[in-house]
Amino acid sequence: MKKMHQRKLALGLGVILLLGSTGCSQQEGSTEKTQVQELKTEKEQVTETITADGEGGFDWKQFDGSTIVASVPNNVHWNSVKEYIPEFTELTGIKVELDVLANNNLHDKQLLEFSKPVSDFDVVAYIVTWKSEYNRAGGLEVLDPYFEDPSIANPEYDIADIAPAFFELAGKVDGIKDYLDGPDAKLVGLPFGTETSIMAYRKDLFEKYDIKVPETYGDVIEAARVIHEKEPNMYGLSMRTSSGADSCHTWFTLGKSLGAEMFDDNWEPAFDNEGSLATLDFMKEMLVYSPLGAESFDLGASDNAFLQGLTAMIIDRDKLIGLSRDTEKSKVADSVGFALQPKADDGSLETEAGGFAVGIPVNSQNKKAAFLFLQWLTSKETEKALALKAVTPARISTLNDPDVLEAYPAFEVVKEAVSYANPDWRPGIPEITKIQSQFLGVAINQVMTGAKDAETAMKEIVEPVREIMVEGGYIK
Amino acid sequence: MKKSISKRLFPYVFSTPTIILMTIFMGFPILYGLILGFYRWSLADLKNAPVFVGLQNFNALFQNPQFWSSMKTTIIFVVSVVFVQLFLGLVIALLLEKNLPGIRFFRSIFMLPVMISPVVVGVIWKYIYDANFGMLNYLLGLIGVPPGTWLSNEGTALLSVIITEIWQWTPFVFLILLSGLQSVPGDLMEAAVVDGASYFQTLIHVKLPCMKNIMHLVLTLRMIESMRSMVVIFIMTNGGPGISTMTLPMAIYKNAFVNQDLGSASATAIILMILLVLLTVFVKGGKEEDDKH
Repeated sequence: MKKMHQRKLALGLGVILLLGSTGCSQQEGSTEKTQVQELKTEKEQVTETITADGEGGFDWKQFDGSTIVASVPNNVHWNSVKEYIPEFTELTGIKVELDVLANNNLHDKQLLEFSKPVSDFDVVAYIVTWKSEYNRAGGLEVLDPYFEDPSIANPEYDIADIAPAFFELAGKVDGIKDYLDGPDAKLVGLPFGTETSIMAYRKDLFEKYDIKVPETYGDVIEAARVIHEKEPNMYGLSMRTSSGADSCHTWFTLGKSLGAEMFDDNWEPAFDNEGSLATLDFMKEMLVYSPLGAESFDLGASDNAFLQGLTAMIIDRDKLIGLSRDTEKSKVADSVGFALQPKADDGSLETEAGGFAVGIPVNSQNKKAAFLFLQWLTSKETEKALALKAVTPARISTLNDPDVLEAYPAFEVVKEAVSYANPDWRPGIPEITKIQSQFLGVAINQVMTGAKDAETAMKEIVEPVREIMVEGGYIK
Repeated sequence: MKKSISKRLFPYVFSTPTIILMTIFMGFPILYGLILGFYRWSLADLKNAPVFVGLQNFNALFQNPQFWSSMKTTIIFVVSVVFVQLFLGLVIALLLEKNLPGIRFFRSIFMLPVMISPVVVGVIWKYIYDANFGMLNYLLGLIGVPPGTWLSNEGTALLSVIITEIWQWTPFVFLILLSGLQSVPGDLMEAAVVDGASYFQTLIHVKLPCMKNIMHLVLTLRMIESMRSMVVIFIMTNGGPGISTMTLPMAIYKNAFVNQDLGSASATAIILMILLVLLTVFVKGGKEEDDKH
């Protein structure tokens, strides 16, 4: 009897264990969701006739009641636009959930979503170098037909107002080199979070020691030397130098004007060209006037060195304008000046064209509602509101807006820098991530730490990168 | 009396749910990961089926100097971490063995590092090692030692992460070895003392032999964990500077999630698993030799 009771108890426990372990579980992740709403498909939402407001205006409410989910990074653009999203919801009746992830996790998560029959995301924010890879994966919706559809294309959008370099960089695929504009090019994204490069410097120290604002690389070296020698505990230039994408970013930022190129016109690796070696020589020379540990500074360390008052100059993305003003992160808020980054001795200048863009997954169930969101996000009005919070814009009109320039005169520098921005600043091929993380970024860091000299380090990576380019079909 | 069939089958009936769950959640992922090592499959191409490439992934790894560098870094990391942890854990266990007043407080304090998440440990030590704002350089400055660039220098970065790993997991070794020390038969110790053995003699000839099994256990456990360790390295150096702290687990992560090469990542994981099995067998073989003697 006792044994029968024990067997029944054990059987019951076994059943409970089996049922409990096969129960549904909520998906975990490091996501934040602002609101949970029941999704409705577009078919249920779109009205049979587009309702206008009676005066021929654009119908923002045509997808009223929809909910869209945006996969976004934790950056200044998205953090700043959050407070305006309720205005979009009021305008359109479309609720927006933001799914925030760190950049690396964003990439993996978005790729996984593209492979599903139906994506959890209706909008994806992506780093512009991922564009080609996403396009090859068939992940991004082509936006050209959407702009040609008067029922969903806002007539006041003014696509021509977007800075050409950013427009091409953010969303053009299948043109020249697959990631640039061209005869067969398609539009798959719009710029939101794009950036260019500028120089920020400690104007108080420059005035104190009567140093002119550097216009050439030689001027930068001289300014760094003077400040390091005369100002206690101060160093010259902040640079990102850590192994991987960070050191590559600095190499591109400083090197493009000097002629550094990753590939020649036939996709043959050109790391060991004169411009590349000159860039590495300059970076190495700057380390003499750089803080301890500067040979492996990542983005955060490089920014902090400047924002905490350790270095006198930094040549990096234009988001520094907002960062330097943020008194929670910056000790130098009132002492920073901005200028165009230095030119090569022959006057050459090529500034960064990079940052983030936004697109719509092919397998989204709310593409048209998402398209309305994209238009609102990148509209003149939204961009101006963000620019008045020091969030760098992508539109020419915003960069010329008197209110914006009065609030942030530094945007004059950005405006000028954008005119030198090249959408082919960094090859937007899918293989770029591997090449930067495994080869170029490692080699640059090894030069910085002194493990290898520049020429050896660059020559050693030519062959393995060439193999990648042959495998990718770039070199026949 | 011969058991009925139902009685013989009963244990299997109750084991079945666990076996099914383990097969689904442990066996299948492991098997799938092993098989993937023989395929080419990119994270950016999940819609298409993986392509069978045989031993191509392994061949590419063996011809890649960075793979061999990672292998060497992993072996240095594991050997250093495990043996220093064993030594320090034993020393601390011996020091805190006696049941003196207040000894529990010290034992509890000493356990704190192992209770902290490896991510937090990595962040804390990254700031300790910071060349400009870190505690280590500050303290060294007080005694006139010039500051170091601990995580930026290829010569010191690996040592720095090894020290961090030792700091976090020595308390775990201490805890296991302490229980081993406390299970040494008291009569053996008394007999040794009566025979005039010194502290060192009782340690070498009584305590350590009695703790052989537990020491093999902790050696195996720490070896397995150290071979898989990557969080601290990821946080502190991300495999740099250069590739000086790029261990095999870091390389697996980079291959899978940075290079999106799932096949290569799986092939590396298979090699890591084989290495781990060989080391475990070696340690087990050493134990069996000791048992024979």
